Amino acid sequence: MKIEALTVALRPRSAWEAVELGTALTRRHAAAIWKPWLLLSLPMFALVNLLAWSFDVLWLAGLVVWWLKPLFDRIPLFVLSRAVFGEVPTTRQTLHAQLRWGLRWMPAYLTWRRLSPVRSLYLPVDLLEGAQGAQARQRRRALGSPVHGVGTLLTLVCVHFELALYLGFAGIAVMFVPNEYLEQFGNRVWKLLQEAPVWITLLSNLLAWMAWALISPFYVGAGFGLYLNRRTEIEAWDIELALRRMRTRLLQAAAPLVLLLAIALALPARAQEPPQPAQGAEQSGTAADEAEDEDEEDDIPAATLHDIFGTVEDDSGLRDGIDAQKTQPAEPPVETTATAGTAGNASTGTRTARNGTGLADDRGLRNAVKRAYADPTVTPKRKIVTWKARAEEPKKPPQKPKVPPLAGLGAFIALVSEYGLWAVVGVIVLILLLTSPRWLRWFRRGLTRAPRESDEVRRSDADEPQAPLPDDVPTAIRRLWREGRQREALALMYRASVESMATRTQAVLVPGATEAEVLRVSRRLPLAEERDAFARAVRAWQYAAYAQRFPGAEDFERLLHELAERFAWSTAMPRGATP
Amino acid sequence: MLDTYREVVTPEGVALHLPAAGPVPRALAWVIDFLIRMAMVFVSGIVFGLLGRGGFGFQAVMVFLVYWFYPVLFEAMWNGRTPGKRALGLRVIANNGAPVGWLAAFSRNLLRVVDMLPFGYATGLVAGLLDPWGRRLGDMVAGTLVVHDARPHEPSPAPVKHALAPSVALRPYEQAALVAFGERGPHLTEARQAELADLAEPLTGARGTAAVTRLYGIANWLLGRR
Repeated sequence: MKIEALTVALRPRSAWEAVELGTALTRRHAAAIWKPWLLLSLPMFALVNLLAWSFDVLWLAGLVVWWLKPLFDRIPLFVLSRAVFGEVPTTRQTLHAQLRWGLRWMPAYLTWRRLSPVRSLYLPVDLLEGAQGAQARQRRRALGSPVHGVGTLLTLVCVHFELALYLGFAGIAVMFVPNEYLEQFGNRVWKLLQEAPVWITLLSNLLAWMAWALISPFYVGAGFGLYLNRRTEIEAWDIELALRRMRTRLLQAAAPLVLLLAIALALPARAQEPPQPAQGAEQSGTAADEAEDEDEEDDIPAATLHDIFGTVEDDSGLRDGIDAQKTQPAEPPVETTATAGTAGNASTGTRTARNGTGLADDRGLRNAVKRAYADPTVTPKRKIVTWKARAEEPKKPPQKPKVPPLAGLGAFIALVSEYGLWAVVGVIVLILLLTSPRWLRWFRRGLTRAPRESDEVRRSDADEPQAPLPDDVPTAIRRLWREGRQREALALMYRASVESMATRTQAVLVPGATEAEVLRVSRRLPLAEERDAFARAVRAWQYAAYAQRFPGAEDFERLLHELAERFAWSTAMPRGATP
Repeated sequence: MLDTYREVVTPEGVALHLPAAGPVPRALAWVIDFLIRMAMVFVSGIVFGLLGRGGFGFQAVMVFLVYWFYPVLFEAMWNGRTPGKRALGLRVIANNGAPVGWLAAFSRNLLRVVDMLPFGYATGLVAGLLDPWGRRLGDMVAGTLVVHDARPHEPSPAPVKHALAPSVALRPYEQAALVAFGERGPHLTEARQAELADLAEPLTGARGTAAVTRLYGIANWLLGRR
């Protein structure tokens, strides 16, 4: 597996966001996950229920199917761990992989780890990294301990999700019952549940299985997301990716230069590097890994992606699975359920008798039972004498002292608020009536609403066509300045300067040209002094417009004077479109 | 690349990344809110219980208000966060990243009635699992989104003192990676730091510990520490 092939955006996330990443992964690869899941799980479900039925312990089937969930949790994990690196396995591949992949861990996950609250978090650690014994424990601790709480909550929430879905599926039936039959319906359902006929147990098993089918892959995916995020955190995968890209870029860019350098400095080692950057990086990576592996005391274990995913891929069973196509597919669920079924059968012999096969010829038996019951020693009759009061005393005392302490106040407030509320209703109605001439019009207008006005959007005053420049620009500017409208004075000065500059350079300015564009055009002005004055005018305007900073009176006067001189403003200005 | 945020491009051309929250943290936030609501009803029940029968009406009003308006009030007035959402680091916002308004808060919470069908939020749960941004039906109708609220983190201290200008011009993503290395590098094992720094050999011209130190120096320089 190569980290360059990652198909998810890695960055350090919070643990909850890692959960989102996991569920998003499950969602994206839904087809690849659910097809094999259903293909394996449906026959298993049917088989387990059939076996349980034949042994008449149907209630056990639900439990067995639930207990075997880790077997099927391998499927989403297998698909996701490959899909993350861009190789989405086909249904056939996934199915074949189930014959071997991760089975080594299943005894643990089907027994003492089955009820572990962080199952989804440890599943990828164990199954994908393939470490053993103490190393695996260390690995689980390093990866799992900071997100242990989130993993536990995740399990807890998912259990409740399953419960909600199970009850939700069951509740759909209730939704279609009309209200008046609800009580009758409830009584019948209650009776049915007590009797627990076969079909209702089967239905319940099926609903539960459906809930698991929906939630379980998301659960495993979320655990995988947590795992990915932890690896990203402690190994900085995202940084590695970016650095690799940078390395490739720099080496490509530097290749000719390095070659020259190498020739010049006679450094043959350096010249060999550019053509095979990736290989070099990998070698260095594995070397570092091995060095790290020897360092056992390190708290965060040494394993990195290459050795871990590499080795896992080797024993992942993909190839073994393809080789093993001819062999009979093993059916682990069958054996387990069979034993469970027989075990349960012994304990529930009475139900077998009631259901039927043993009752072929039982008249003799029934007579014997009747005779047995007739025997007075079996059902002895006793006489019991008790004393009873003649007149039943009415029992009320305990009610009396329970009158709450502020009852009188409460009654008063209740009375007040009852009438108060009626008063409020009256006032509201009155207000509505009095204001009806106003709001009735809204309705009428609403009914006969005029079509919208034209779609023309007027964004700001800037869209308004600007007034043409006055004939005597300096006087106008000075007048504005004297009136205290400094900003407008500077704006007028800017406009006039731009216009003069445009006429002088014979440039065509785009409508709404920015200051920078105007300045760029102004470089065509022939005289340096003109360019300088123009730039200062623009600067003064920018300070005023964007920073609310105005020049002093003398500076302003000096600038205006110079501009008027340079651009010959005292005469009439040529009229044209302002920029 | 698969990611978990919803991207909204503003009219200015800025891409906002809204990290959508899925059903799991939202369910937990709901549980916290539910407990708070229960406590409110319980306490008010005691208080109004003192008033005897007259208190029943108030209690009924209280239950009504807590049931319908608790989330609306908090979401509209407390920046899209109920206490439970705050505890889980979640926030309700509008689809486009704007704060959630009264109308949206009302509609998304009134539509809980639909999401609760047929039992225990099953509809909302299925919708949340299938929707790429974890929205339940109420969110879809109201045009809102529940996001993870990024908590600001303290800038970590520089691992080395000196700053070093990179020898070549770096692209934005490379600068980001180097800064990230400077911030998160000290949490990695030393072997891993060296391994990562070796990748940047064309930039640093060194390997091993020397490369790590130089990368930290470059990170300092990029962060403006001189």
